[in-house]
Amino acid sequence: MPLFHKNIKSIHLAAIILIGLTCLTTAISYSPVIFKFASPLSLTDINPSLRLFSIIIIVLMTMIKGIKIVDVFMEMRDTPKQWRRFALSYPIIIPLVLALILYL
Amino acid sequence: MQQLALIDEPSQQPSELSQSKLPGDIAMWLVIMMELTVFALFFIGFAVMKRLEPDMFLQGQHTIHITIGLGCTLSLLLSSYLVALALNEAKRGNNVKVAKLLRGSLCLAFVYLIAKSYEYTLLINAGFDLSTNDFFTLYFLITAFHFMHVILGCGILFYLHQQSRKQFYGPNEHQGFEAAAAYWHMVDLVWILVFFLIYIAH
Repeated sequence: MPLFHKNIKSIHLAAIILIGLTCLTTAISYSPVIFKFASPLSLTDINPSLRLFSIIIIVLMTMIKGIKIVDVFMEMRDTPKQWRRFALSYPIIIPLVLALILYL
Repeated sequence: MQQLALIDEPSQQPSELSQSKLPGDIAMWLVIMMELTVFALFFIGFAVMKRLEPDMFLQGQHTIHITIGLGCTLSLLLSSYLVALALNEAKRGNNVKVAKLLRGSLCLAFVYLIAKSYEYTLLINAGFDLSTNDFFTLYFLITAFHFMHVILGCGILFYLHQQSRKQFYGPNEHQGFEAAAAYWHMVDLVWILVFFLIYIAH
């Protein structure tokens, strides 16, 4: 497959993944299942294991979205490895650090 | 030098030839790194304050509008998508298509600007401002700082659009476009984290 068409295909795929994950994270975050037995403004009433699972999923999805933007949209996939790793460290490390500060 | 060495090597594929190049200008990447560092400090500050005052931040997050946040995210993602497509067309010298894609991207960026302005109006009319509490101080600071980046990005996209109308871009003339596109994707990347921290992580 020519390089141009391969690039276009990966951009389309990345856009679908980004939009899908954005809608999914919003749905999980505001899911009525999570808040079924909780008062609207209390985190302590939420089932702890369900809460942890939701947090892990949302953080992972945020990381994937960032990786897609860096790798596909910014075209870092084809750059020297050290530049790519440096650019990818941001969408991986920052959500992880934020999640650790917020939830640990 | 490295590229010449690769060209001499007959087994190298075209995709491997492009591996030694960073998209855009090194100066733009330095700017991007600085911007990302500033935003990272804002994010860590927000997270620490939220840890210290969880109830205030939870109430604040229930006050802001998730549907507007989601709309802003989708419009920026789609705008970035169109810029990525435009860059590929610019590399082929298809300037007519580049101009069309950039017009679409600018329209989506304006959707973001209108939606965010509407959210600010709603919050200010409801009596919330920078001095309300720590949540709203950080909320307005982070989102307004990002908002200014989007305005600057719109100016850059408009410049790219005007250049593409002059048939400027081609296989050997797209480095400036790459740098501008990298900036616009950085704005998108930052918003993904703003959306996670302010709207989603509650």
